[in-house]
Amino acid sequence: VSARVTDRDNGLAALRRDLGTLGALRLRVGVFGSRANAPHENAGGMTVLELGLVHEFGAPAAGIPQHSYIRAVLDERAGEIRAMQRAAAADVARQRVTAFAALVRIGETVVGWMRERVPVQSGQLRDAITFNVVRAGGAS
Amino acid sequence: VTSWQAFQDAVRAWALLATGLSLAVWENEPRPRTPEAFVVLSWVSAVRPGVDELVYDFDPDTLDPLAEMVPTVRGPRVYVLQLAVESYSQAASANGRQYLERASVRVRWPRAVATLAAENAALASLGPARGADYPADQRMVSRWLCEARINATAAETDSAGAIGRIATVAVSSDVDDVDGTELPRPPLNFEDEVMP
Repeated sequence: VSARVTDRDNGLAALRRDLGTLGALRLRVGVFGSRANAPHENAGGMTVLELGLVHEFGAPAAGIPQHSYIRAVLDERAGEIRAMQRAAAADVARQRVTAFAALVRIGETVVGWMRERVPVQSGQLRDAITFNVVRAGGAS
Repeated sequence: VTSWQAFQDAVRAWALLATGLSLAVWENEPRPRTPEAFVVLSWVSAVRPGVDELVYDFDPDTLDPLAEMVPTVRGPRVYVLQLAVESYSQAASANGRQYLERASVRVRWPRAVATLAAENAALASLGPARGADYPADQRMVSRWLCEARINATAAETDSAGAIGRIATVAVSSDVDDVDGTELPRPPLNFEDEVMP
């Protein structure tokens, strides 16, 4: 006697996997990576990251005002970011995109907003603003 | 918040009370030369989370009846303030972190709450203290930062745009009887009768 069971779940298993992945992935946006650790060409020996910190928080003793391009964007665009997150969850649930692609779409948009705000001298800091998608509690 | 100057002054007084410091400067003000720790205040962002509303306030004292209703537009605002404490001393009794940790509880003092409330504002949250030293003049400046999220109501009154309101109505009528004669006035016809 032999029996065969065929499980046709119409994509339920894939959907569960993708939704689980969306919950486990984290989108990081900011100044990091090899471009951030490179020396800035006209900042007196500072790295791009250090210059980025000076602009983000200001350096009153050096006469540089705070010019936030990370926190201010996250504050001012909080509603739009939430809307994108909702849209991403809906798209993943409808299996239009994978969880990873949905987060990449948000990351590219947020990076674009931050690059618009950053003070530009050489463009090095602007180019160092980037994003990556990491698994919660682990590396990318 | 109706006057930005008054609001900033209130925020400065609030920051001094919360940190226990004796000096607070806005980032575009002249910086003090002092061995004491001080706090530098700067705005990170200002968000308008909703739609502003138009309200008319009735002013019974105005002499012109056509200028009794004064329009005001007001709406919610969320302001994010950066508090940066700079200090030479790294002693646990005098470094920047110490002042910000104290502030985390002192912001709920009734006096501190009242200082912001006087300007139609209130503290929503105070973020964690973070070290953020920076280089200046071939040295590192010791600095600790935190962010305060302040909810406020912004309002502007347009006094020159005041308008009148319908206070009373005078009614006259001209109603005829079935035979074509006018009904008696009064009581069946009105002649400039004032309705409240």
